[in-house]
Amino acid sequence: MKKSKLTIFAMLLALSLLVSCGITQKQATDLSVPVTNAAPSTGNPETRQDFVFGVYNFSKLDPADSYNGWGTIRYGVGETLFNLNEHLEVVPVLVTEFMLSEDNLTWTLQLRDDVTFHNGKPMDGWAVKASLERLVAKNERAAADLKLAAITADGFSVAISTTQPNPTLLNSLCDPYACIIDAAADDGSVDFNLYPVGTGPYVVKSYVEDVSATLEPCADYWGGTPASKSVTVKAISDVDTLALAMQNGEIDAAYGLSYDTLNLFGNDEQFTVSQAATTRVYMLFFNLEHEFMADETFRRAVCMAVDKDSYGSVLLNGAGTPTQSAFPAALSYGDDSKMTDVPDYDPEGARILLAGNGYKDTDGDGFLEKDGKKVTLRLVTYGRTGLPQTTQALQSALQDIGIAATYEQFESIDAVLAAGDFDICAYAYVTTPTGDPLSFLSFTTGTGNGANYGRYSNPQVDQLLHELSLEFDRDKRAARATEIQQIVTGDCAYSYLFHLNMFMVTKKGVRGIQQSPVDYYQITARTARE
Amino acid sequence: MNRRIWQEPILRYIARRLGSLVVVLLGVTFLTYGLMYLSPSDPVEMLLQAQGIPVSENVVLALKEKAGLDRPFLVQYASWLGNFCRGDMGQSLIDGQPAAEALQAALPKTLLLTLTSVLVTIVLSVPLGILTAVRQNRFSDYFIRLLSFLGHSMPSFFVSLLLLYVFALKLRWLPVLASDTARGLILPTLALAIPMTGKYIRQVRAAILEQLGQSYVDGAISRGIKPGAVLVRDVLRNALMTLITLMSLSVGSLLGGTAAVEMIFVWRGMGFLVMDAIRMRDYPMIQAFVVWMALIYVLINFLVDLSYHLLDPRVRQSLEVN
Amino acid sequence: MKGPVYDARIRYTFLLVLTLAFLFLSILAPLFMPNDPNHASLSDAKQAPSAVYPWGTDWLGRCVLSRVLAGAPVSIFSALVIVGLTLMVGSAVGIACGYWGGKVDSILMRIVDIFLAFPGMVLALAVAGMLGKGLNNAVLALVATGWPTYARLMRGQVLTLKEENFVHAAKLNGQTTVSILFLHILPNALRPVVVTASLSIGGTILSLAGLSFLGLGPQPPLAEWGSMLADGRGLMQQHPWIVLYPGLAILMTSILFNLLGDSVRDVLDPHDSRNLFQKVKRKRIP
Repeated sequence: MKKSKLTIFAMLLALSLLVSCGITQKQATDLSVPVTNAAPSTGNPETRQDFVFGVYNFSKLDPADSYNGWGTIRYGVGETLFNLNEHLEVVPVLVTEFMLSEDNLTWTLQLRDDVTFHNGKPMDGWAVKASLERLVAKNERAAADLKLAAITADGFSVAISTTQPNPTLLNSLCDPYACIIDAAADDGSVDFNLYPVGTGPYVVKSYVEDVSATLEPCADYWGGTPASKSVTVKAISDVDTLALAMQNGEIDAAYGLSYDTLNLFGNDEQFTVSQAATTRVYMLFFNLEHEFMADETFRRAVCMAVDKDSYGSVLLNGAGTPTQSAFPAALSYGDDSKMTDVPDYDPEGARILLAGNGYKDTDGDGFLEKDGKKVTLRLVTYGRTGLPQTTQALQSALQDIGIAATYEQFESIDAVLAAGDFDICAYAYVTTPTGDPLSFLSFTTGTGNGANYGRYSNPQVDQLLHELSLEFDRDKRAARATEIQQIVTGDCAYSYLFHLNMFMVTKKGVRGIQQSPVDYYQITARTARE
Repeated sequence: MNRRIWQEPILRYIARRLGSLVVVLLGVTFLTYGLMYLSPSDPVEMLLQAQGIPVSENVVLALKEKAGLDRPFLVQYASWLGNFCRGDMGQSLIDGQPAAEALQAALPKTLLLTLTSVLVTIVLSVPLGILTAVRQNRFSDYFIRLLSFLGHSMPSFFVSLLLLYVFALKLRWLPVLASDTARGLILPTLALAIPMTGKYIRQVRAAILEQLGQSYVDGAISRGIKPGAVLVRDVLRNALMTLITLMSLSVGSLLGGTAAVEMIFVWRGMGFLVMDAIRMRDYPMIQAFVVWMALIYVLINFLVDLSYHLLDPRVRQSLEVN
Repeated sequence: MKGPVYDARIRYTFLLVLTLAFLFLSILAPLFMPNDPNHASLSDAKQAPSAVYPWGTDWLGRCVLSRVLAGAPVSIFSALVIVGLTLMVGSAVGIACGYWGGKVDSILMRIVDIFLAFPGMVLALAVAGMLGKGLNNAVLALVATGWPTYARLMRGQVLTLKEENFVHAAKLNGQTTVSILFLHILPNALRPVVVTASLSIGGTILSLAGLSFLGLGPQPPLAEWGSMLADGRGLMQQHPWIVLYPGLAILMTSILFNLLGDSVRDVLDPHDSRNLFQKVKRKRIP
């Protein structure tokens, strides 16, 4: 008992040191609170309290269904075999030992033998096999990432073999989609998207679609007694109302607040603000197939009109760290100083560059023409906090250098991008959801690939991507990833604006929940209010 | 004998009204369905875009054929209407949920909010309206009318923000998030009721003043009946029509007028639902919403009309003559 | 006896002059803008009112005063256009129904009934939602919602006037339908329609602001009061000027037009309660 109190004290101390407001970028990335559900919990069933969590984007819970796994993990219902720590390194959670075969094709995992699903069934090798097989059958993204050939189970051990050497298999097993659930329980008797059977500290008791989920602690959670008597996750889709509800004390923690509220909560003693650098980068897609954007000099001028520092400090209220790289500086492949060919903010230079390349205001309307044709760009984006703001600021900045631009905001942007119906699109991309650069770089810069909406194509980049996909050595992977970004930013094919320091607000006295650098770790067994 | 005389015309009246209701509702569905085709973008392309699927000609054609959207407009409309009458209002383009199911979940919430708002509006505007009429051109008349004028000139979203700021944030008396509890309903109810009250105080006042100006009031008073008794017994009874009209008008303005307030208080009623649908361009949901709202409104108006006939002897007599 | 009517006329004249002055100023408003309303200056974002920015700046560093001024013509004239269009469309339909009667009447009135079956803002939401965001569609949505009321009103007027002696006389004199409609019927039928229209301007401004608040009105960077409010809502506590001024602009404008509407009714509408009251009093004298 004494020991557990000490643990709490130490944790609180660590928390209060790290998550106090106005945290700097460096501190934030060094957050040393373990981001794993596995830490022993200290819940006392006698004195536990109810916990209310207000979220902007409420999710359904079948991990295999699109991105719903984020909810499964976030609300403490499910767990993955491995987690990412604050340095985005893979650490085992439901696994005790793991090893790779000589031919790099088979991973053998030894599972913990004390983990049970919410329905009491043990999480053995066969259960893990069934869960992963259900996943790849239902989720194309997972199938493409995992490249499974076969899974064999034996007691509490499971051997996963892949069709080709897959250096990022364990990273992919950290993706929320790989949350381990009891596949046998998905027999149609309940809606598995609302009532999944996982291994997490909390069990879904009632789920009202788009409104709330009430969770109760799992009585025999392998990591100890969950610290809250119940957890209610409330959907509050209006960010301003979410802030008011937090201020009014109706919720214990709020996720998805507008960045404008950082000062509001940071300057108020009743609240704790925790901030962490995430791998979400705000970036610009350029459509290289469109008339003006096809011109590299023109793109360079556009990049020179972009005031990254102000966007991060003003539009995101300091929560955006300006960057030249797609990855945060804390990662070995996110070194800004190596991106030497990225144009600096220089609107005057942009004007000169455009004037020198045949862009002139010939009809005197204040906007440039090229060969008698007015330059007009179509800027598009969607509703995520910061994007409409960034795009409108960009619209104004482009007008300042003489480029006319229209602005449109869509609810769902992917189809607009896929149709190529844009010149510039501001987009927020999680570049390393599982701690590895390959997937992002390949998707956005490989010729003809899924998220390469601007139709960028460079054989050199394609070759490097191929090498990256087969490379197991960490340092060499980092070098390849850096090289790819150097070429891409040098071609002005993309502009990476800033990385997001996300934040979460909790009431004073709330523990065991804070903004994690990995955006999908929220409710854990330790989450509680005093 | 006497009963049969007024019963028969009213039955005929009901039958005639119901007949025209069917025509009106047919028009409502036609207009609602046709609206989709006035949209500048192709509904199938919108559907694909909404789901994040790249739009290509082949995909569009295949989907059109599958959904029967390559048929002539009237055929499509007829099949949509047929499904609608059987309770199948189409599915959400976003998550495939049947529209009827989503509406069923949201409708009680909007009706509850509508009911509380109408009640509060009446409880506030009737006594205050009478007060201003009775005390015409005195201080209380001017003061209440000034307030009602202010309320009437503010949009409900603006009132919501003010109420939230004062009662939730500063005084901490009431919650920000609307809920089924009485406390949770107070702020959204007030946000809707205050602008309506502002409008209706003036109408109640006018109606009462009109009654007060009738000769029967003078007659009653000159016969020695107390003014208070006249007010309650005759004036209010004769102003009842105005009150009923007022009620149906306010229900009408609330159906669909609750959207901004529902969004602000995160109250997942019909307004919230349709705003979600509009944002996502979820046409089947918008269509189902519009038709349902019109249906409810038309039925309420029908009942109100019916109540006129039952309440007002003059209208009753005119029926008898016909 | 002369007093109240006289008062109403003075009040009406005063409000009319005030409103016209206000309209005139709002046309000129863009000339008084101290800054470019759409120019973003991030280094000046969220500044409190100062000499350069008399009403402060918004989240993008745009001058709030300039945006409120730039939004004046958008908000006010859109509302006037909406009321004008509803009046014209509705009156045209109403006149056609009332004058020709018969099949024209029954068909058009059925259509009117159908439009009236959509409660309050439902049709506006549907039209704006289906046709897409933007000022033009918002105007169209509100016109679609408003016109049937005028059609009914005008039809009733025309039906009564049609039977008046002066109309019969004009017909006997061999005047054309057009001249009968425009010279004899319309001028006399217009009164109640104008009263209804002037009473509805304030409400229309609020409805438009409401659509804007829901994101269905004018799109950025165009300044409009409702969208300025929606846009700055999250900053209400920390930087109140961002929402205060557009909010006050909506409030003041709708108060002004509501006052004018009331006053127009007092002067033009013979069924006004006050007049009835006076009439009764007059009766009592003998």
